[in-house]
Order: sequence, then C-alpha cells, then structure tokens
Amino acid sequence: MGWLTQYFLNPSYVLPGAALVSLPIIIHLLSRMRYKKVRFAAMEFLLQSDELNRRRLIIEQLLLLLLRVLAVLLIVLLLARLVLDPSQLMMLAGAKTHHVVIIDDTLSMRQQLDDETVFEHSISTLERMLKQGDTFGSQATILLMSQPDRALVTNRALNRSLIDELTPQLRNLNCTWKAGSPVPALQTAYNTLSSDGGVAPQVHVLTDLRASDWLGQPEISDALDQLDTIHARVSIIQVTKQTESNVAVTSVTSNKYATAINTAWRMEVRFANHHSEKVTGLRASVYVDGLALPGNILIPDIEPNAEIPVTHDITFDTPGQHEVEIRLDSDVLVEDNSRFVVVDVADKRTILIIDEEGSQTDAGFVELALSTDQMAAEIRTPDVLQNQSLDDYDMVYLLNVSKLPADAVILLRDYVASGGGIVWFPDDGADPTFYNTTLRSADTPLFPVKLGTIQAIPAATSDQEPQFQRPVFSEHPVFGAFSELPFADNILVSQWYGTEGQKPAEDNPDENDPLKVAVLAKLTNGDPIVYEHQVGDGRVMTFLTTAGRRWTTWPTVPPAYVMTHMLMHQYLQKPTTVVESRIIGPPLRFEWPVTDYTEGVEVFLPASDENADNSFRRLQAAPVDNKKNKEDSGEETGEDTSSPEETSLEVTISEADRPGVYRVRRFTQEGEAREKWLALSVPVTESNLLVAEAGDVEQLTEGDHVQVVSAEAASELSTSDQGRELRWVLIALLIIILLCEQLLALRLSFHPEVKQS
Amino acid sequence: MQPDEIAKISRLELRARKVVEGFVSGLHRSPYFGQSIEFVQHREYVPGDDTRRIDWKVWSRTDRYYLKQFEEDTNVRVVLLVDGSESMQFGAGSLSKFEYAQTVAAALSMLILKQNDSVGVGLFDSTMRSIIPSSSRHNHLQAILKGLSAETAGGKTDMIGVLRKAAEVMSHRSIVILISDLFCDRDELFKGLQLLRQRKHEVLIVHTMDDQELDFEYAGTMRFEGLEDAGKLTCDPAALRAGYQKALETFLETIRRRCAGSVIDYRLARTSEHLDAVLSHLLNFRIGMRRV
Repeated sequence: MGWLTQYFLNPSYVLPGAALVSLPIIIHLLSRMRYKKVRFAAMEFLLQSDELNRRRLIIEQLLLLLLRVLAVLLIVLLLARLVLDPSQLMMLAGAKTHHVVIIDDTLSMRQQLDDETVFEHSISTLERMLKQGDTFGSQATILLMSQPDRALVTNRALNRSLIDELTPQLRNLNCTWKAGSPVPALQTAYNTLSSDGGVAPQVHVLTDLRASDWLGQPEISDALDQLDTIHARVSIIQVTKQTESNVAVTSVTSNKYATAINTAWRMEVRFANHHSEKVTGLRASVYVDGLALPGNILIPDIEPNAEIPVTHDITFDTPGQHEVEIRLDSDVLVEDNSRFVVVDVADKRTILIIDEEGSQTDAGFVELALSTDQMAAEIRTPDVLQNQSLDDYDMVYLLNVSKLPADAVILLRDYVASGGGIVWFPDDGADPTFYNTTLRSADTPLFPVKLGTIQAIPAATSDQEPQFQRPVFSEHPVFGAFSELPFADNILVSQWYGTEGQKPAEDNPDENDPLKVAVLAKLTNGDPIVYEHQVGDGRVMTFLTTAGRRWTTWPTVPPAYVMTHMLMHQYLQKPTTVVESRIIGPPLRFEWPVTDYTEGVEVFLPASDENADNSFRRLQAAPVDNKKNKEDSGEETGEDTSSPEETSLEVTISEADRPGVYRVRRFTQEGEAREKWLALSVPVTESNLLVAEAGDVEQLTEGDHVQVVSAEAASELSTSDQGRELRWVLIALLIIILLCEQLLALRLSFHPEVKQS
Repeated sequence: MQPDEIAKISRLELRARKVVEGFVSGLHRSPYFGQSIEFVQHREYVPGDDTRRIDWKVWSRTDRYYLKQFEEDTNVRVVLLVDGSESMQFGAGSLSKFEYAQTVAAALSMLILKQNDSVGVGLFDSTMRSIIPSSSRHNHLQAILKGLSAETAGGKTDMIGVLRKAAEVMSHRSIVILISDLFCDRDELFKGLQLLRQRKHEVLIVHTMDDQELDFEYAGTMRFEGLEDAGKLTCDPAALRAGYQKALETFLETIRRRCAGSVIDYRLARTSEHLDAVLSHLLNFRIGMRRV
C-alpha cells in the first residue's frame, strides 16, 4: 500500500476510511429493511402516488445517498490529508512532506527582548513547532542562515527521537555576529527540496524580518521564485514585530594606523542613529588595551536615520600594537555599540632619504624639515637600495639620483606597489635615458613624465630683477592650504625640468590612465612643477626642481618647506601591515608562501565568557591545494596570498567569529616571531532594526506561496500547506455537500406545521 | 362531545346516549314534535286494539266497532346504512372509522326515536350483513344498539349490491343515511345511490375518514398493507405525501361533485371531529327537507 503515501499524508487512515464510505449505503439498506408496518385503508391513493413519483423518488434517494457517501468520503480525505499537486511528476517521485527550516542567526537576531534575545525566541518557537507537530510522515532539514551549507540535520524523519536529539542541539546554538542574506539559505533549501522530490515541500524561515535583509534585493525574489517552481510553500515566521531604535558605532577610521608615541593619532568615529527621533546627549567611551581613557567622546545630536562623524585624538605613550575600542552605552542591540581598531605605535617613524649628491645638502634640508621627536630620517646613498628591505620606512625620498640599478628599481616598484610612497627630486645630474625609459617602462612606471631639458629663468641683469617663477598649487591634501598662506608667495623657482610629450590635465587625472598622473602645481609660466601618480597601492610624487636651494628658494621659506614635507609624510606614509581591521564575515584565513613562515601558528583570541581562561590557540597550517584555491576564490584571505604556482601554506581561524582583537603569530624560517593584529568588528548593515512590512515581503514574488506569519501563529511543522493539501477546498466541498444533503433531506422528509394553540 | 372522550365509553348505548344528551342540552328548542294525521281506512275492532282509536261516529251509525287507520304513524322514516367492511377497521386515533360510524348511527337512532320517527339500520360489507327493520318504538333503540354492537368490521365492500338490496327492501319513501368510507368503486357507488334516488329516497352520505387518511402524516420507512386486499407498499411516506394528497383530493372532489349532481347530501366526517357537528348537520338536513 506504499503508493498511498503518494497521495495521503496519513495513508493509514485511507483503508478504514474507505470502509466508512460504505456506511451510508449500509444505513440506507438497513433503514429499508427496518420499517413500521401499518394496515392502511386508503391504499388506492398511496399506490397512485407511488406510481406517479417512483422514478423521481428513486433518483432523489440515490442523490441523497450519493451526497452522504461523498460527505463521508470528504471527511476521510480530510483526515487522511489528501495531497494533490499539479505536478504529477512530483507525485510519481514519491511524496512526503519535507520541512526545511532556516534559522536566521545574523547579528540583528541578537536584539534583546524582555528576557531573551530574538534568536533565543526563535529557537523556543522552533522547539514549540517541533513538539506540537504531528510527527507522522514528515522529513526535516534545519539550516542556519549564516552557514546554509552546514545543516544541523538533513532530510531526517521528523519523529520523537529526532526532536529529542535536536532539542539540546538547538539550545546550544549561538547567534553569530555576522551579516547575512537569506538568499544562500533559500537556494540551499531549493537544492535540498528539488533533489528530494517531496510532494509538499515546505520552507520555514525563522527571522526578525529586517528590511535591510529582506527588501531591495532582487536575488531574494529570484530565490523565492525558484522555490515556487517546485511548488514549495514558504512560511516566513516573524519572530519580532516591533522596530526598535538603535544607535550604533558604524566605523572607526584613520588616515593611518601607524603612529609614533606621544603623537596625537586622529581617528574618525561615525555614529548612526537608527531611530525615528533625534538622539541627544550621547557619549562614547574610549578603551585602549581594555582600559578606559579618561574623558568621553561627546557626540552631537544625531538626526533620525542619520550618521555623523566625530574626530577624536589619542596619544599613545608606549610603542607596540594597541587595541582601541569605542564603546557606546547599551541599548537593544549591544553588539553594535562598540568597534575595534588596532594602531601600530612606534618610538619614531622612520624615513629614508637617498641623496646621490656628494655633499647631501639637499638631504639635509629635508631631514631638517622632518626633524621632530617622532620622526627619524636616515640619509643614505643609492647603494642602500640594493641590499636593504624598505618595509620599515614610512616613505623614501630620492634626491638628485642620476640612475639606479635594475634591482633597486624593482625594489622601489615593489615598495610602492605594496603601499609605500616615494618622492623624486631630480637635479641636473639625472640620466634622461634612465628616467624616460627605465622608470617609465610598463613594468616599473615610477616616473610620471618624460624629462625634457632643464629650464631656467633669464639671467639677471643690472637693470632688471630676476624673473623667478612661482608655483601655483592646486587643491590637494599636501598643498591645499598654500593658496591661503602668505608665505607661499616667497617660494621662487629659478630652474626646473621641462617635460616632453603630452602634458596631463591639471588636477584632473584621466580615469583611464592606470597611473592616474596628476599635476599638483605649475609654475606661473604654465610648466608643471609637481606631479603625482599611483603605482599599485602606493603613490609617487615628483618635483621637477631640487629639494635644496640650488634651483628654488623653497627651503628658505621654512613654514612652507616644513609643512610640505610633514604633509607629504602623512600623505605618502606606507600603511602598516602588522595591524588590520576587518568586518566579521567569512572565516578568517591566512595564506603565505612556504618560505615566509613555518606551519605553526599561534592565535590569541579576544577574551570572552567562553574562553576567559584560555584564549590561546595553537594551529597548524596546511599546504594549499592550488587547484582548489583557483576555483574557490570567494574566501577572504590574509594579505600574504601567494601566486598559485608557489607552494603555500594556509590556516583558517574558525574561532574568529566575534568582535574583538585577534593576534596571529607566525614564525619565520629563522624562528623569529611575527605578529599580526586583527580588529574584527560587527557589520554595520545589521544595525538598522527596521522591520519589513509583511505585505512587502509577500510581494517579493508574484506567486502566492510566500506567507509571513507571526511566531505565535506559526503552525506545527507537520501541518502541510493549505493549498498543497487541499484542506480548505475539501472543507468547502464538505460544507456544500452537507448543505445540499440537508436541503434534499428536508425536501424528502415530512415536517408537520406547528399548529398554534 | 370529543371523540376521545366518547372512545372511553365502552358500551355503545352509553356512548350514544352521552352524545345525544350533550347535543340536545345544547339546543334551545326541540322543534321536532308532530304526528301523521292522514286517514287511510277503517278496520274492524279486534280485542287487544287500542280502544282510543275506535271511531265512535261509525259506531253510532253502524253500532259496530271500527278503528280509524292513518297512513303513517311516524313523521320520518330513516334508514341508516353502516359500512362494516374491513377498510372501516382503520383508525389511527382513538376511534376506528367503524366505531365512529357505529356511534354516529346509534346517536342518530336515539335522536330519531326521540322524535317518534322511525329508524332502521342496515350493516353491510359485501352483503347486507344484518338488518334491523325500521320502527319508531322506543324499545326499538335496544334492538338497534344490540345489532350495531354485535358486529365488527370485516369483509369486502360491494356497494352496488348492498344499495340495490336496500332499495328493494325499502318500500316507503325514506331518508337513507349512508355511513361509509366510500372505498369502493365510484361508479358502482353512484349507480346504487342513483337507484335509491330514483325510488324517491332522500340520500345522505356521512363520509367517514380517519385523520391519517386525510393528512397522511407518516414519517420514516413504513410498510403499508392494504385492508380489503388493496395491495402492499414499502416506502418513505413523506416522499409520497404530496402525491397521496393530490389523489385523495381528486377522490373527494369526485365524490362531492357527483353527490351534488345526484342531489345527495354529503358530509365528510373526520374521526377526530366532534360528533355534535355531524348530528347537527344531519338535523339541519332534516329541517331543510321538511321545508320542501
């Protein structure tokens, strides 16, 4: 009788029900056999009436009998839960109810309700649905929205033992700190259900139904439409209904995450008000290495649904990496009230000045301009570029360089490409071939223009003042203030390099130009004097005059000169690689060439309730499967990703799933420890707790297979969909048939009129 | 008098007396006194004759004793024909149709005799089962009651035969009151009635019908077995009710129409109906007849 399961969810009711269908016929026959006998005189009229009405009566009696049989049949179908699906293929494939439950475990589910979080409420709702369910003939698959590829259970028979097994598992589930879209989970549900061929596929999504997650994403409509193709009903169970106000720290950024001790490090903190009313009087605390700094960040009033930036300076008094946390007072969603950042603090910031000039006078001027307590400039000859790594330098000056060996050029190219900054000051000793060919090759595009001939102002005569040129600066972080400062007029230029070829547009780099060459300053005669262009992640600035006094009076105008070099340092400073900030998302994965570090990796997790006693993990890196790596390029990897051809090691820190600062320590082949500090913060997209309107979500798809229900109204898992099961159709038919039966029975029976006394 | 109450009285005499007393006490006057005074002939006196009837005028002339003889001693001669066929056994209420007919006949006899009228009773089915000859004597009532009580309903109806027989027997002009359910061949019935009418008899029909025969308020599956071998039928009576009533109505209408055509007085009497009403109808009929 297995075929019955194709059409009935309770097939065991079918055969007894079929026997019941014969009941009206039996009752009818019995009633014909059990009669009251009457000796009657007026038989003549009775026989006449019988003769006239016999045919009609037989038809009416048969119709009444048929209606009664149908009524019993419909009741049996309702109890046996008839399942009909337009897709006969589905029926032939072997039908059973398959429930795919998707639990939203994204960050916003951590919102606090009265005495539990929304996530905990969704788990208790699911437990109730499981317990209330009639466990006959159903299958269950339970997914988490954050990782739909790792189902809690897959296509298991929904019975008591499964519920007993699931209950502790569900209670131990933790909500993640991640953002997440329902799309992957819905697609997984589709894949699961389409391969299963269940006749009544059901998808239940336990979610907080945030507008940011559910609306404005065409992919969700596509995923829901896809589910409609297999006739799956989607029940979106809304665990929370009310939109709560929430203020969040949305970002902590800075121009640089490396600074020196006793130097004010400036950060920009942004606060968002996801609230319908203006928020006033907010304060944020600043924690450095877990200790609160005195004083708070005073936050101006934030308009509804607005975000404001607030700058704040911190001074570090010890070198090393420092964990900085900005923390707001608690609200309904605690997790987005704090954000982390790591700052690499050095005793001094180091700058390399290469000067080929014998006396290195020009280098002296630059060193003097940069001479503060927090900076240390090293003056070297070009030879140093052949045997020294540049990673420890914030930037590199190249003064009066005639030409450089090829490996030095490659070293500079790599330095700039990885984020470093260099500044050229060529003098009359420059080798035009080197500058115009080697430095402008496609492989090492370190110079922005072709050098032309040296230009000079006309020689001064006795009766005429020298006709100096003055630089005119464009808007730029380095030169932005010069136009307003009076001393800028004192900068005079007597000699400079002319350029060959087409000149780039001033301050408006060509978008198609990979180098993005821009002119930052021109002389009054129109000749460009300062260029900037980009190579990889780094920048190159080029002055077509000297850094010393030979061709310009710039060094003799100290405020302008010092300001220029200080701001250039800030602008070109190579970002530190030992600290990094990320948003919690895919598992944290590091990959590096096998020659760089050994397999052993030590990880220090941020302190939490779970690992308060042991936050240290020792991990072992594994060789990378290059083929797999090529195919699977979606995962976020560390900065040390090597080319696929090289043998690499990789390690995944699965526990890096919560906000805080993680320290990853690797060891060079020489045994030297190198640490990387990672600040993980929660995704900002989860902070807006605006709940989507149920109707809007239901209208994401043109079909009517999507229904939003409240957690309280969520039905048990085994209750199949009304449309799929034809329950309401059967009930309507039953009502109609019972009405017809009553009307016909009324017509066929005798009801004496009540005589009034 | 309600039939329910009448039914509790087992003896027909008491039953009839109760009906008549109730009926008479309800009348304001009793207008039915009088006697026949039409002289026919003289007859010589024989001992034992009522000396009050001696015609003394004849004696003074002839010195012989003659009695005066009048044409009729009574005002009206009434013949009650009571149907005693099997179909009259039927009765869903307190009285069967036959019991009802017996009571009506007894009460009428009592009333008629009280008026010094003559009454005779014939009880029939397929034949004239018993005949109580007409008489106006007071003690005649006992004979009528005894005759009615002794009979039970049974046998088939042969109306034409019975009526023909009655017509032959009745030599005097009479009022014939037929108390029957008329479940017989209509043509034969009216042929017989016509025969009576041709012989100058006034005919009055008390059509006795039971409530269930008229209303047919049966419910549930029933098996009807016809009296007088009228057939059998198992059916849901509610479903046949409309058709039954239609056929019955046609029957009653036919009876009424043909009675009117033959100048026969017709009265449908339900067995649940007050007996007074039936008696009243009959008396009214008699008044009407005297006026003619």
